[in-house]
This record gives sequence, C-alpha cells and structure tokens, in this order.
Amino acid sequence: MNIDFDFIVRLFPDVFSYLPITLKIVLYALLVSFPVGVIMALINVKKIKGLSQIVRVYISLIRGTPLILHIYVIYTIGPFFIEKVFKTLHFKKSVYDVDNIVYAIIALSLTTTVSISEAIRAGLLSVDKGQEEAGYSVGLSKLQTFLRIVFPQALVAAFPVIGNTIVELIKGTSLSFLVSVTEITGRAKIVGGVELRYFEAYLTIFFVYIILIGTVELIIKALEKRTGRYRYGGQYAKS
Amino acid sequence: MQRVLRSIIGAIVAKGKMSKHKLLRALASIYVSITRCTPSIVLLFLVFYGLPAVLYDSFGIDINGIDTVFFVCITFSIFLGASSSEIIRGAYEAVSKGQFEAGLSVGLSEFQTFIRIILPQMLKFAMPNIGNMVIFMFKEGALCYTIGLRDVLGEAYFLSSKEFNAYSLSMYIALTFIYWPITIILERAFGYFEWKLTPKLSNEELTTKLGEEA
Repeated sequence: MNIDFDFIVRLFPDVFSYLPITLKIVLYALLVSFPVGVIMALINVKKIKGLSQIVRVYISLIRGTPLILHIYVIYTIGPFFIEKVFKTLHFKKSVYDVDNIVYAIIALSLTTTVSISEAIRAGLLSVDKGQEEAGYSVGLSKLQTFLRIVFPQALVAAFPVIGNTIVELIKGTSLSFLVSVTEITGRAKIVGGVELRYFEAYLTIFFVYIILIGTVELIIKALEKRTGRYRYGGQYAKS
Repeated sequence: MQRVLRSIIGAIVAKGKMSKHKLLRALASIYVSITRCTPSIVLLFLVFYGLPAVLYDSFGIDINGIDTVFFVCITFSIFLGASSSEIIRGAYEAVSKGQFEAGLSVGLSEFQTFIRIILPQMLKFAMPNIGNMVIFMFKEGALCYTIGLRDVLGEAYFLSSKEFNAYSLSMYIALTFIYWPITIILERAFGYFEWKLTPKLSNEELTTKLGEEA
C-alpha cells in the first residue's frame, strides 16, 4: 500500500478550512433544538393533555427512524414548505436561493431535540419536589421558581447526557454531504474524487474528526467538573 | 442485517476478554475513545476504500469481488466492539465479587462459576444497554446504502430512481413505516427480556424475607 503522505499533508489544511461550516451546522442545530427540547421536556413532565401525547409520538417516531432518512425527508419536503412560507410572507426570494445547509440543520435538530428533551426530562424528574415548594415558600412566583431553582439543577443533572448529544450531533454533521453541503466530509469526498485518492482523503478526515471531537469532549469534561461542584448543594465544594 | 448482528457477538467476546486483562487496558481505552470520536460514515468509507488496498498490497489477497456486506460487517464490528466492551465492563463490575467467591466456595470451577453464576447476573445489568445498542445499530445500518449495498433504504432508492424520483416522498414515508415499527418491536422485546431476567420474589418469599429483616 503506497499511501501518498504528501497528499494528506496537502489536504489537511484544505479540509480544516471547512471546519467552520461543520461548526456552523452544530451551533445552529443546537440553538434551534435546545429551546424546543426544553419546552418538550416541560410538556412531558407537566403531562399537559393532548400535547404530551403528540410529543411522545414525535419522540418515538424520531428515535425509531435513522438519521439518514430524516435528512432525505427534509430535503424532499423542505423546499415545498419554504416556498409556501415565502409566498405567504411575500418574500422576493425563491427557494433556490436557500442554502442546502438549512436542510441539514433542520434534519439534525430533529434528532437533537429529542435527545435534549429526554435528557432535560430526566434532569427535571431528578430535582426534589421540596426544592419547588421551598421556592414557593419564600415567595417566588411559579416562573421564578422554575427559572432560578428547578431549571439550573435539572441542567446540571442533564449535563453529561447533553454533552453526549453534542458529540453525536457533530458525528451526524458528516452525513450532511448527502444534501450536497460542502463540510469536512463533503470536501474530502470531492478532493478524493478529483485525485482518485479516496483512502487518503478519508484517512485525513478521520484524523480531523478525532481532533475535533476529542477537543469537544475535553471541553465537555471540564465543564462537567465545573457544573458538578453545585451538585451536592455546594456542601462538598469547599473540601 | 443478521450477519452484522452475528459479528457483534464475536466482537463482544473478544472485547470482554480484552477489558479483563490489565495490560491491554490502555490499548483498549485508546481504541474506545477513537471509535467514539469518529462518525460511522467516515469509518465506513475508510474500511470500504482502504481495506482492499491494504490487504492486496501487504498480503496479496484480492477481495475486490467480495460482497459489500463484508465491509459493513467489519465497520460495525469495530464500532460495536467498543461500545459492547464498555457495556460488558460495566455489567461485570456491577456483579459483586462475593458472588464469584461464593461459587468457588461450593466447589464449582472458575469457568463454571462464570457461566452459571456471574454471566446470568451480568446479562441482567447489560440488557438495557444491549437493547439500546442493537436499536442504534439497526438505524446506523441504513448508512451502508452509501457504499452501494442494497438494503431496505438502498432498494427503496433504486426503485424510486426507476420512476425518475417522482414518488420519492411516498417512498420515504413507506421507509418510515418500516423502520419505526421494527424499532418499537425491538424496544418491547428487550424490555420483555429485561423483565424476564429480573429475579422476582413470590409473596411468601417476600414476607419471610421481611420477617427475617425485622
């Protein structure tokens, strides 16, 4: 096997320059899915009639189908919806101006929403009921109690799972080349195809992904330690 | 799909051994973290394009004509080897050491103790995770269409391109209703196994036990 190391060295910075696009997908998908996930978790925990059944079916549906299918479905029906929205709002843009990255973001946020809502739901359930009552007893309103007392504790409990979700999301972005978004994997596929060196191209992005996700995991671990300080009500923080 | 599943079992055994040896632990943890850090599609492409070349150049084995399923099996074995080793390690640690010693003390050999005492208990702890893993695998299996394997998704894609992609949406909906029920069935089945494996006490046993404690 004669691996062309020059090619790898040459390709590495080239692929690395497409890192912002991957990160952009991750960032937007998180921005979309985090609030929606929190709302879905709340609906599930509070057992709001009607809505909670819909949310449960949605969660089951998304968990029961592969990501690749979500991406294709969004890519197929997305343009119709966007065109309709544009028409009703009287935008002058056409669907063809919409970047493909939008479909990748939507498809990835479907899955991420579900995992985040499940994580937060477990976090909310792990917070003791007494905390909420304590909040009311000192005169906080319902919203204040939730935002200041219950939610921060739930977030700390859910943090490790959310970290896993982010890692899964980054891994998922590699599929967005299927809707012709040129991110890391897409770029490697193009260059590998041009020079007929698929193996080297994929070897390069293999390393890029290891560096990227390894860094993200280290950051998450550090944050986990930081947030974990408040886990026991601060009583162990001093020791 | 079944072939893939079969290869998981091989990986489980290999990795289970691996995590017990302390010398290999460092190597194993590097392997686990690397597979955690790679998207499955990248590994799939790497195996698909790299393996034939490596095998041909270093061993002179020509596997160009081989079925694509082979590559899919290898990729997912690499992946699931990592996750199943973690599951098995967790389950092994969850079973208390006293169980092993108790087995030895009544005269069972080490192997017998493992098979009859430790393994059933390990299974109970590992079942939910194994279920998750199989479902995850089942969904990731859809990726193998990207290297040209005609599985459910590949076949559907082939059929829809015969019709010039006119019915692609209905094809995707049909696929949803293939994947969704199967996942639900798998979830239920593993839930049932888990319930079966949990030791249940009858009412009499429970009262005597409570009486002893009181």
